Amino acid sequence: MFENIIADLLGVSGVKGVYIADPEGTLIESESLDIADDEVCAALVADIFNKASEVCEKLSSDSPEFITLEGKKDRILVSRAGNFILGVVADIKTNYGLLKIEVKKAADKAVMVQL
Amino acid sequence: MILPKTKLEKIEKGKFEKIVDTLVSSKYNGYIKVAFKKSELCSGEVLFGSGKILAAEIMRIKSKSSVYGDAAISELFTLDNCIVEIYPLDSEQVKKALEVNQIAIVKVEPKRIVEEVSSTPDTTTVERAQKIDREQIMNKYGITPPSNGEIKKIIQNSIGNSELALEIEESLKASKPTNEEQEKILKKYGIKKPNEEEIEFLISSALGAEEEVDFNKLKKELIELVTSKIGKPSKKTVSIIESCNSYEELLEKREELEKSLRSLVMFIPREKINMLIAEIEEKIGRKLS
Repeated sequence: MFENIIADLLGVSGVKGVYIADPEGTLIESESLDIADDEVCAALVADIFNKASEVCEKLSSDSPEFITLEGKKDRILVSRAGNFILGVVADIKTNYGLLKIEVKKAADKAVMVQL
Repeated sequence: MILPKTKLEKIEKGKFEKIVDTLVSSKYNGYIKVAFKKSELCSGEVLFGSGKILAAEIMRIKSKSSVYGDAAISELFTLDNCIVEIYPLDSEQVKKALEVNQIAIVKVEPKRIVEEVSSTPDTTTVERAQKIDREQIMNKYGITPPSNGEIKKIIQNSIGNSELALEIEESLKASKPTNEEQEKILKKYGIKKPNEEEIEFLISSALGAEEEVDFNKLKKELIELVTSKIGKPSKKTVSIIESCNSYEELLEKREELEKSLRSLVMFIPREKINMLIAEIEEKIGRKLS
């Protein structure tokens, strides 16, 4: 169902894994280049989104659309994609602007696919 | 392929071939993107110019290898259920895209490629082609096919009163008794025509005789089927099957078999039991009740 989206995102240099999960953390579809357990990663991506939602709700009674988590080696981008949550793990050296645009595009496409 | 980034026009779902057919018939200008997972995740792109497939490429994401042209399009045509993204281009953009992607040019007509993919043509397609050829030739020269009577006459004229002709006549008479002759024979020996039930019984008993040879095999299969589907609670059913020494005995005990299965409704869903009964019936060739 989301092969197109995953293929597009994996085409961006530096992207290591793409995960689509439902809000409960169940893996819907994924593809990763060198990360081991896709199901665990999908659940963690959903967890990031749910925690961010909680924080957002408490701080500004809003809901998150896009979350970025930066580590020393990798950057994790999480976005709402219709009824699902889209997570991307990329190398920290990856062009952040381009990646953000691609993730937003992918989220829009995911909404179109679900229609 | 290197293609200009344009705004996504629409997303189509379904068989790739059908989606392409609609684009071809609407003389589409643009390109389509499709991704699929076979051995690994692949992304395919096909360039259209006024409804014609001009270029194609499949990229294997993990191995970072690509397939171009005819090989790519033939692989894409095997896709059954896919999501296709459609991007429009104007004719100049198509021209430029084709110039840039010379490596991916499709040379053979897609329909022909599909036939090549489905291996060698089967006998029916060959027959169909021959039939069409024959019809075309007949129409061209205004030939009407001869009737059965005419064919018979031609044969008779050609073989005349030779021994072969007599032999053929005799064999035809022997092999095809007329209805009247048939009724006479039946009356003579006091034979009644069997009704449908009797015919069914005759067939099933004949099948039963055949099965007898492989009864042990059937028994084994049934036991395996029952234990695999319902596990431990199948003990009683298995013992009934095991107690049968012949196909007839199994048929006699079929109601008992069904009862034992239906009694498991407390532990196993009714649907599952019904499915198992249907499978057993299929195996033994008879209804359980």
